[in-house]
Amino acid sequence: MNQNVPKIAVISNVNCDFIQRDLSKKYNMFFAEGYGNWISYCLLEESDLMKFEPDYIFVLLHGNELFPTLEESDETVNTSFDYLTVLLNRFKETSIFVSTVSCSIYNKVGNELDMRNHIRSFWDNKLYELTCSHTNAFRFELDSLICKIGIQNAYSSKLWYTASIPFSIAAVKEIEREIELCIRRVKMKRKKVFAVDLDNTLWGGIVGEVGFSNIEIGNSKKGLIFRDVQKLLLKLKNAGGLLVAISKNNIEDIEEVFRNNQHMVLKKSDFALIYANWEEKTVNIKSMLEILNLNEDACVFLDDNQVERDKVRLGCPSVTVLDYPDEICDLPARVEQFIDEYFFLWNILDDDRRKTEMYHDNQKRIEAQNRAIDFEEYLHSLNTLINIYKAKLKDIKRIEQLLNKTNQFNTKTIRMNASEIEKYIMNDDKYILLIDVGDKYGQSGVVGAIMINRLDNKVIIDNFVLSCRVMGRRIEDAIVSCLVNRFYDIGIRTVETEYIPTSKNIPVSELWDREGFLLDSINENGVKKYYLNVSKIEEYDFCKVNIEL
Amino acid sequence: MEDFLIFFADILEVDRNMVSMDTKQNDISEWDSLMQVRIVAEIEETYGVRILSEDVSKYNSILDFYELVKGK
Repeated sequence: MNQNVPKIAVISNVNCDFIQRDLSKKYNMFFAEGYGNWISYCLLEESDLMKFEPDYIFVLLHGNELFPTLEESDETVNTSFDYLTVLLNRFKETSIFVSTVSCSIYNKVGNELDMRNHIRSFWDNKLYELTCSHTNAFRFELDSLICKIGIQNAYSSKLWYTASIPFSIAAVKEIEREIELCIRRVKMKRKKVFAVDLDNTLWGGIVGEVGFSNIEIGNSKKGLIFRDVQKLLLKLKNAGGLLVAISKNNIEDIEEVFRNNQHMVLKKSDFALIYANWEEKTVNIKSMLEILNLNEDACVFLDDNQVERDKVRLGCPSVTVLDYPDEICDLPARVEQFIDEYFFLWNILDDDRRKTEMYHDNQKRIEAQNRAIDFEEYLHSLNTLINIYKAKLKDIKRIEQLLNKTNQFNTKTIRMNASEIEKYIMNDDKYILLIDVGDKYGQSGVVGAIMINRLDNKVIIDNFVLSCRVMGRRIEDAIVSCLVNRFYDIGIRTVETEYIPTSKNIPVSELWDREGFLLDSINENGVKKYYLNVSKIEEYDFCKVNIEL
Repeated sequence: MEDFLIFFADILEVDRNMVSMDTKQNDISEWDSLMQVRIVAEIEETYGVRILSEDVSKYNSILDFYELVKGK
């Protein structure tokens, strides 16, 4: 099979032969020897699974088998997670999906049902901890998908007693679909903007005709449909999606709805931008993408009007135009499905939650900049505070985002996955400094990283990345000057670094020259080597920098 | 009948041309005992029929299964 086809292993405490056979049509599958031996695959130091080098491992656990008796079930959960931890540490380059537990028993004998519920929630808590502490661990929603098709349809006693397969064919097919979905999600590029029409999309009726108090939005019937849609979009916004309203309307009418209609779930401030005018929507979408500095393919668009949808499809071909259902009652479920499909996120970081607020803070900075007489004065007025500290293991997810998503301010553009970052941090001579920035308009969060390799009295800066969120505020100048002085204090006399050009990191091509580094050499690929003989230098006074080395 | 043959070839993961109503279990290497169980489960779930577990081994050809689901 082709080298690029993902390598997948399904390990389980029951027979998963059907799943393996079916998926082997599309993927490079690992065929487990015998069945039910998930524990040996976790614990064996050398196994055929190790030799297979899977890209993905799915651990599917059937509750009935895992907990044959309910006594000492907590103990079983704890041991199972010990095994899983060994597996996760052994296969660090592999994305490992661990199932929630399902049981086919639904009759109530004594307190059995309560016990099963207890096990399920205990398992869920442990699984949550596991996915937080291991960057290669993910949840596999076995229990939810069995609920979706119903316990009676999901299990087959005939397959169980004749082949040790607990699941029905229907469940097997659902599990296979979910496995494929998980793989797609790991690779998926998440969309960033949900652009949405207002009349008959976020509320019923046309506000310009019926007025802000008569639009359909509320707690019953048709109004409830739109309220539920708004709730879903609010959830998306809180998970880091940007909402943009694009509506053919008078802005005064829209402002009035946000101000005076008490049933609205979404507030004006929940939107990164609101376009209410009579321009073509494609014009507004293009303007919005330019302001947010995004490409068309980062955007989805929802509108009840077929003509508007077709125009956007034609005018902005890379924007994903969502279908609006014929049956209005299906709208919330459809929106939920869109969000799940295009905005799915395994872990929501604090910075994601604040995306819209950060965008608004930035707008205020731009306004202040336009007001200020000169740039120096503007920088001083921001009261910027920068905290720089050594990264710990818990910061790996954010570092991974920074290293892999930052294109412009990225001096060497070295991409690293979570396990490579972990190795770097664990190395005694190396560390990563994280840069946390805030000012009077708000916290920008952890926006940059500097990778440091110390060799006696010399330091090599392996990479310097800074999110475009904070570019243009001369933060890098303040950071480098303070850092150089701190290096001097701890006995470092030389700093070396490089600039490796890419098509996107031109903004930092002169960075090291500007910071006073001397150009040592430049090769035919444009890679520039720099060095600095460290001495005390003057620090900038427009912001305060704290460094914990 | 053609639909059933396509359905059956699909379960066996073989080309449609490989099977006919006369095809027997021994004719196809993929049709092992685990596959037999799968065929029974697929037919039960798709056609809403029941095959008792003690009768599973009595169904040896595609025709045997077809007789059961004919008209369903």
